Amino acid sequence: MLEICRLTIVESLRRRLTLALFGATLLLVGFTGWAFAEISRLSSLQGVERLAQFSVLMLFLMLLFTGMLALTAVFTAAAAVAGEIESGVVAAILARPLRRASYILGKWLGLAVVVGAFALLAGSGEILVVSRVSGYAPPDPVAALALITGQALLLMTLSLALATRLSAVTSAVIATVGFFLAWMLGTVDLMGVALKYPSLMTVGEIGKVLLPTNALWQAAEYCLEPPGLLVLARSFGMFSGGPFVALAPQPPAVFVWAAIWTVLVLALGIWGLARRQI
Amino acid sequence: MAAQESATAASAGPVIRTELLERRYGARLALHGLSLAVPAGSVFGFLGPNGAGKTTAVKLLLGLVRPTAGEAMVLGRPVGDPAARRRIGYLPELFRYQDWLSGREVLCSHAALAGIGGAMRAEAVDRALETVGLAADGLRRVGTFSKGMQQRLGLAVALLGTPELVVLDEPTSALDPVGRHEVRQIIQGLKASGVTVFLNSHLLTEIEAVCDEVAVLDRGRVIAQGRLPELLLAKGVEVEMEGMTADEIALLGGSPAEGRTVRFRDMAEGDVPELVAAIVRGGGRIHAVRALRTSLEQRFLDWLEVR
Repeated sequence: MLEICRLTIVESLRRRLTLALFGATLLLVGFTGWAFAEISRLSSLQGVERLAQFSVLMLFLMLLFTGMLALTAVFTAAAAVAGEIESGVVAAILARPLRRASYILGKWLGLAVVVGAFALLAGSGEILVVSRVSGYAPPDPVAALALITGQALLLMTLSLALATRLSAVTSAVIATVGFFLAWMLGTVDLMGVALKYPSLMTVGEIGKVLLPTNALWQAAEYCLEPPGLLVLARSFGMFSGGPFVALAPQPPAVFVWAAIWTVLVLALGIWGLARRQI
Repeated sequence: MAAQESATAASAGPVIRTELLERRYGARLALHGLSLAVPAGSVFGFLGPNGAGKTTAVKLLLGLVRPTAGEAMVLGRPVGDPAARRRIGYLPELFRYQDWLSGREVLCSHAALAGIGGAMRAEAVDRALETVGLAADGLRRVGTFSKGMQQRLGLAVALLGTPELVVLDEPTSALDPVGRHEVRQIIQGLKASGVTVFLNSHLLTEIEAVCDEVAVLDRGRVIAQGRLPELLLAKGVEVEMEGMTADEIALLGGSPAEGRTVRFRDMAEGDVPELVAAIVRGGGRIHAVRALRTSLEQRFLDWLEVR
């Protein structure tokens, strides 16, 4: 398993994926710093209004980053597994005394190191540069980063599991569609809460169970919002959030289910490769 | 060490044994009732036309594909068993290795997966590179290798360590005549050290040159199987003789060939003494009697027509 993990990391280095991700991080953080500095210079808002402006801008930025991270995780995992199966590289590897489960777990671990490192490096860079330039410091950036990374790993696991049976492109497309669908269903759920439509809430809950990525995003959102602003929003009678507002933390069951979901999907991937004729 | 282990395997039974092994893909039967016994230390040729099911059979033996019926044992263990796979070297038909690694790194990685550790790993890698003639190119990226070099690398991967069974699926498909000759020498070297070789090929000259036994596969079924010298025996004898006319020879069922040679086809082995007596009675003088032999290519074509 560790040899497959090592090979996966070496592959990302040799194929210049790591270099590309590092370049993307620099570009992203650099551009963010410049954009926030400009807004900060030009904005005439002060006090709570300024706080609200920068917190919403940070949430918007992190939402975009989450999307970018999701696509990175999905395409990297799909290519790493389906690519090796389709090219025939895997035939010589699996003829060795290596269990197929170890192959999948090794791949997962190697990809998790690459995707996790990118998520933590670029994500912390983003938060740090925004805090530095605008002066807005989110209440719990560490937890937010952990949740965003968790979301990426969850999607990576889905893509990897699909890639044991499907082509790289198909696996990546399905996982990407799943990610955006979960986001849409999350928004439907928030609308259901706001408008008190039980059917919308039910659909939203089903979405959360099928793919808990958006629930993790909402939890991350809560960690990035200024608590004072949330108190203010509730005092104005807001009981539902929106795509850029989470008024309440996610219940612990969401995190437990996200962890169970990841393990289950990884097990499905192991089963998928075990049944596959190479 | 491999030779000693193979000797142990020989006393324990065949290295590969399959019983009515079958693989079905939907309605298509890729392999039908394959029953084989590959003796330890032999070079076993598995031949057949393209699409006969040879590669499917090889993948079944390595646990890469599951059988839909039947059973198979390799090195005394059920197919796919990791302990058995530790003692097998395999060159796949579609030899592809990580093109972003060097040849040496590919071998080191396979050595690690095969459980060859520590100082033995570097030694095993050096030996394998040397054997296949890639010692000078070990540090080059696989992506820069020619097709022939990639096949040599695949062969090196199969030879890593001290395998007791080496499974080669079309090992010379990308090689030039010199490369093919070298592979034949490698196979003969393996045999000399007691390693069993399962050679999957449709190149009949290759099979004829190195194999002790063969099984012929066509449309998923074995249509002939046995020791190569016996399979190449034709039914009949050729007699070097003189003293009889063409008509007299024809009466005995013979047909004159080049020089003094006369061929008597479709003759059972037990009828040979009676034939010799009849020739002598008819005034013929016999210089030699030989069993008729045929080429593997001719035999192969005969088998395929028989199906």
